[in-house]
Formats: sequence, C-alpha cells, structure tokens
Amino acid sequence: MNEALQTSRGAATGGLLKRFGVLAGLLAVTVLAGVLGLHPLLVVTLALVQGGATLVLLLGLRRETSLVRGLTWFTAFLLVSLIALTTLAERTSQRIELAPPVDAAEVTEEASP
Amino acid sequence: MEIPYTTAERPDTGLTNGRFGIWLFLASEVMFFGGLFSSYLLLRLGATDWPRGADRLDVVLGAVNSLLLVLSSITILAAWGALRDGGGLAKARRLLGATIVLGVVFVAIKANEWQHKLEEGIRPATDMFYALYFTMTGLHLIHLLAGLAVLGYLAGPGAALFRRSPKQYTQRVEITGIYWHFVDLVWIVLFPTLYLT
Repeated sequence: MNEALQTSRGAATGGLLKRFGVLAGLLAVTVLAGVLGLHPLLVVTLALVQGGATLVLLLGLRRETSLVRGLTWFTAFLLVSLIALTTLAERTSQRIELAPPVDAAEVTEEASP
Repeated sequence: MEIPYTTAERPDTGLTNGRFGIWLFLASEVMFFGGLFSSYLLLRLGATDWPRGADRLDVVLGAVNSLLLVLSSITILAAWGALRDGGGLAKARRLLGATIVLGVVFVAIKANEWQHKLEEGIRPATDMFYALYFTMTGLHLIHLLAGLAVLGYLAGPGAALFRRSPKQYTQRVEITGIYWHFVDLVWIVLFPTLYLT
C-alpha cells in the first residue's frame, strides 16, 4: 500500500515537472519569436497556445464537469466576439474617416434646378 | 446553521458551491480583462504609429516574471496534491510558502521596473503605450496581491481549519489555486502583448 502510494506520488511529481517543462518551453518559443521581431499576430497566437496549455495543464479543464467546460467555452466565445467587434468597429471608423471629402460646390450645383 | 454543499458536490451541478463560485467569478474576470485587451486593440489599431514593446520594456525581466508565475502555479498545484494525497499539512504549507515567495519576487521585479520608469519621468500620461502598460500591469498586480493575501492567510492562521475539517481546507487551497492559475494565465497573454509585439 505504502509502496503504491510512493509510486503514485513519484508519478505526480514527474507529471508536475512535465507540465512545467511544456509551459516553460512554450514561453521560451514565444519570447524567441518576440525578440526576433516576428509578426505580432504570430507572437500573440503563440501566447494564446500557451494560454490554452495553461487551461488544460494547470486548471485541468479536461477533467472538469460539463458545466464548467460549457461556461469556459461560452466565456471564450464572448471574449472573442468582444475583441472581433472592437477590431471591426475600429476598421469601420477608419473607413469613415478616410472617405473622400464632399465637394460643397458640386453639391450646390446638383441641388439647384 | 451549516451551509450545504461546502465540501459535498451538488447533485445537479456536480460541483461544490466554492468551485462553482470561483468559475463564475473567473468568467466575469475574463470579461474584465477582455475589455482591457479590446481597448488595447482599439487604440493600437487606430494609432498611426505604435512603438515595439521590446524597444521600450525589459523583455528579460518580463520573461523571468512569466517563468516565476508558471513555477508558482506548479507549487500551488503540488500543495493541493499533497493535501489531497495525504502528504500532510506541513508539506502543503511549505509549498504554499514557496508560492508566496515566488509571487513576492514577481511583485518586487514589477515594482523595480515601475520605479525605473517613474525615475525616467515616464508616467501613464506620457503616451498611449505607457497608459496601457501601467493600467494593464497595475490591474494585474492588484489581482496578484489579492491572491498573495489569500495564500498568506491559508499558509498562516487559516491552516487551523485543517485540524477541524481537512476536506474543507483542501478545497480552499484548490479554489485559491484555480484563481492563482487564472492570474498566471492573464500574465501569459499580457506579457507577449505588451513586451514582445
């Protein structure tokens, strides 16, 4: 019994080290990508992969109940929607700003009979 | 009066009150930080010119801080594991202590970074980049300090609960751990966003 418990504890420590190794490795890759000046989107994508790994390896999302997993997915969906809408709003406002100015003389000419 | 489902799982949710509560709280926190990240995107995409974080901030310090937080997440996980597997309170307290030390080192590095910036005359009002940097790292720091306060309580006076109700104490450590992992997760996204892009 004690031996089995010891083995299980050893495996648990090994598992923790493995998780740390994976997360530290992902961090190193992200830092390298940033230092090398790769495209910001690639760096952020690597960060999101690291975030996903944290959810699975540290928060143990796969072992959670369907309620927690559903809540997580729903929150993630809201977050992505918020960010997507923000980006879209920003692009739209730029388009409005960049629209060519209306020629006042032309408008008056068109309006007169 | 005893509050039900403190340590036992509710049959309908399959969760204890505490765990369900922390997940709901974290969902609201995601939207809080999501709003900040959205503001960051809005301002960055709208700017005609945006500085590269690596040119203005210390990437090495940021990377060390990231590693410290990941390591602290591992130690808190090990503390919970020790309590769950019957490893004893002493071992769990040592691991909680290690988590606190790692968190304090993170705060010290961040304070040092801020101090240098302030000495150089850089303030949140300097420009939009620094406004976002101070706001986002500052709010993250407040979350981290709150986590440290709870960890300090659990490793200190709060540990008395272990003698009365080991299961409830173990659950408190687990819930604090979930919150701590979230603080770690926010930094994992914050660091590349501000320092590396």
